[in-house]
Amino acid sequence: MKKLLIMILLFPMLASSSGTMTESHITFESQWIKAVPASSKMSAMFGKLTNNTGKDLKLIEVKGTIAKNIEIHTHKKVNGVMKMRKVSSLIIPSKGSLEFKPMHEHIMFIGLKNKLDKSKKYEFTFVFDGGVELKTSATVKKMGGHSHHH
Amino acid sequence: MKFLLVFICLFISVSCTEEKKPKSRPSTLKVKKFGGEFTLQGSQGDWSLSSTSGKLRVMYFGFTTCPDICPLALTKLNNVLKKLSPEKRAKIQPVFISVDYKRDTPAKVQEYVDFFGKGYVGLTGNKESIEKVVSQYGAYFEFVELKDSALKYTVDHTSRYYLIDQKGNFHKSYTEISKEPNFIVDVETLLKK
Repeated sequence: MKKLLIMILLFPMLASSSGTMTESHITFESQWIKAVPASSKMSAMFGKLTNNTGKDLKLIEVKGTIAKNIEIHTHKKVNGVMKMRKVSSLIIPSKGSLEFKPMHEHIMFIGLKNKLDKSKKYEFTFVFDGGVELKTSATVKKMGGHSHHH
Repeated sequence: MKFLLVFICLFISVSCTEEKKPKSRPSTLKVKKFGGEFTLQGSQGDWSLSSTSGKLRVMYFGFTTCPDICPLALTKLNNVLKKLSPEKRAKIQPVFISVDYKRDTPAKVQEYVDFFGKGYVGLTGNKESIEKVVSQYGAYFEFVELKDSALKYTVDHTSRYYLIDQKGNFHKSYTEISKEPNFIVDVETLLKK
């Protein structure tokens, strides 16, 4: 009876850990959301997306409730001019990583639903081609600050 | 004979050098002088560069929905200015000009710059006034339609800091100010004047 009870108690934990197996192969670390003035309706998220799987991954969407629209953007400097563009997908090479950082690739939030809350943890789902998903979260910090959410 | 050989060699050398020289500029060519007085809209109404005469001005062109370039530029500027003594800092007026006259208002630009540091001036204007000041300082911006984005459009722009002296003369522009020591050296030098 005791063993059965342990099994029942352990089962959800085992199921849960197997559910995160995919996530352990794909990680999003040092992530942060850029703090913006109260009236601003735009922000962006940065962090390091690592692909430890055996094949390349194509990031096609980032879902979340923080803003009306979440887009994947890139930034390039051409002849001294800064050019930001939306991209439909980004490849994260197998055993490689892609760093979303200021002046490079970033996750753009357009139409923030509420004023950004520094004490809140915002949830996101990264969707990859082929149905693989990564659930993650990030907190808000001021650009140039030192704290990171892990 | 030896002298003759040296002379021939020298002649060939000079001839070749002459050929490589670029064509000299026509005497009528005017070199554009950047900088100058301008008036734009601030949160309190018209704002002219001359209203802050006697101070060093550090000016930057950007827009408030810029995701990273402008916030990073203003953060860097704030970090650099923080290193100065309060007396020196008080003699510098940072100015942020939004070139996105379609989306930004003077109040919005002022709120935006207040987020980054104290004593910043945020300005914008209409199409004509923005294009004029951008041209005056040799900067560049362009509205670019983003058909597949909720942003609808973005603004390509140069990222430079323009240092203007106490008399309103454009001194120099810089792409980098935190790692590159020239900017702060120039600021210190101009402050002594």
